[in-house]
Amino acid sequence: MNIRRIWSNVWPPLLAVILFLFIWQIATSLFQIDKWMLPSPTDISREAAAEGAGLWTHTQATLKLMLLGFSIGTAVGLLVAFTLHYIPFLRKALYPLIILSQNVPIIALAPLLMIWFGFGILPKIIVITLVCFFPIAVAAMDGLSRTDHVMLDYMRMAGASKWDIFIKLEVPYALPAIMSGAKIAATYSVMGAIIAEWIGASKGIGYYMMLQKSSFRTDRIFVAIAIIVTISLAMFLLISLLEKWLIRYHPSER
Amino acid sequence: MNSNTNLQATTSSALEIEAAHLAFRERRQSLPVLNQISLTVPNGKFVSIIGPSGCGKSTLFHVIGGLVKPDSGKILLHGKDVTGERGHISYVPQKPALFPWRSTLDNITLAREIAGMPIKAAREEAQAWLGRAGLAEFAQAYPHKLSGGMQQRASFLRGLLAPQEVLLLDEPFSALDALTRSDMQRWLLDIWEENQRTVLMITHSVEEALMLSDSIYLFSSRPATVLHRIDVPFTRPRTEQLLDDPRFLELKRDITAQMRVQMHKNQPL
Ligand SMILES: Nc1ncnc2c1ncn2[C@@H]1O[C@H](COP(=O)(O)OP(=O)(O)O)[C@@H](O)[C@H]1O
Ligand SMILES: [Mg+2]
Repeated sequence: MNIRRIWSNVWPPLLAVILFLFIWQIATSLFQIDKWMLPSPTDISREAAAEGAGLWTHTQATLKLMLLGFSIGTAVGLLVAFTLHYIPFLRKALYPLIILSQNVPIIALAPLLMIWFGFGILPKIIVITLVCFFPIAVAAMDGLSRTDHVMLDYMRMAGASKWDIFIKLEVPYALPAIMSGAKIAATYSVMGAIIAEWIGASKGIGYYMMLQKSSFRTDRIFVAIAIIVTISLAMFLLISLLEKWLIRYHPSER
Repeated sequence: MNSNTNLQATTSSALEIEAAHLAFRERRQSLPVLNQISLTVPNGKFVSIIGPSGCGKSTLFHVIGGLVKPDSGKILLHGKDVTGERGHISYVPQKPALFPWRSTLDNITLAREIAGMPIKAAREEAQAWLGRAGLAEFAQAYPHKLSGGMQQRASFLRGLLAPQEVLLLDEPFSALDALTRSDMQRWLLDIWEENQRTVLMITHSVEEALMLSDSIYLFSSRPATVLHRIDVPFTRPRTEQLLDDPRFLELKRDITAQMRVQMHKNQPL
């Protein structure tokens, strides 16, 4: 894809965001909204600059937690998908439960995890893993089950082993699906990290938000939100680039 | 079928199917697909199957390839019973089914890779074959860069480079337009007359079958039975002039008429 094509996709939403911030700015001064209710974009950016160094340590903590959680969540998701794919009985038995498990709000589970596993990194990783593994597992299982049956017949007739079929056909075939799952999981992992930090942490953006909430520093909460959005976008972009690199062939058949 | 003739044929035949019988069972329904199919592909010969669509030709290939076990009957390769075993034949499916994430070259060497053969030698040989198929500059390209005819040629090369002796071609040209198709037939004929691999091909085209084959099996509509075996009398190498040969035209007319009867049995006009 060339620069011009990318730019033509980027400028309309960018313009919308700028317009939105502009209206926000005008509205806060026009209606004289209190700063603790809704700070203006300039207030927020001023506060961000002032908080600089401290914010960076919090951001780093969140990034570390998120990346670790995302990696483990992805690994668990893939493992679950591969296992269920190869053991049809397990798939039948567990797949509905996995779907059902998504109806339990993670925010409700988090306090339990804290009670069971303390305030260390383990319960936080579990929270992120729980939100990440699902989109990966479902996407991977879906991708694996869609494997082109003519290609599969070819591999089987050629006498390919199960392992060969897995590694030379099923995984590459499912890769685009897995990558779409990973994109969703990536944004979820940011959310998971923030929730984990809300429940119990001594650093991180989530912790920072809770701190500011108790002193009604709305402007600083907005700064935190801006950082979260930035991290989410960066993660999404990172996975998209990885996807581009991994799937260099034209995915025309899907 | 007479079992004596079968026994005598065993020695010189590469592939032999003995009274293969198969019905697909779904719920309480039973769908008979293969009805006592017996056929022989002699060593180094080109044999075709013609039959109405949906009669069970592809299913027969699946049985030969070991994907589906027949309810009864045997598949013999050089006299050895390989019923239900995989990895003994080389298969060229109806769609090219090249792996989109592999370069054309890596697609062609796939069968050798699976067989655990040295990859370097395979790549060199594949490169040479790509040249002969007019695909030399596409060796490193992904399959989507290839036209339909080129993809089919690549798929055929993948089958040709496989270590297995017997090639199964399932309607290899059916997805191509008429011009490309006759081009491909010509190409296949040349390649085959040089290499003389043992081939069993499914086709819809009577002309194609007559042009390429040493013998043709006519299948009935489902459940497939062997109606006739036609020995194609024309000498090799064959050229396009054959298309105007009166004997060729007569055989074509004859087979086409029989096929029409079979098709109308299924769907009366
Ligand atoms: N796995 C299967 N289960 C049930 N029915 C099948 C299966 N495979 C093929 N059939 C049926 O068997 C018949 C023959 O199919 P096929 O061998 O593909 O025909 P063709 O002669 O056109 O290649 C068709 O009616 C098809 O629907
Ligand atoms: Mg078919």
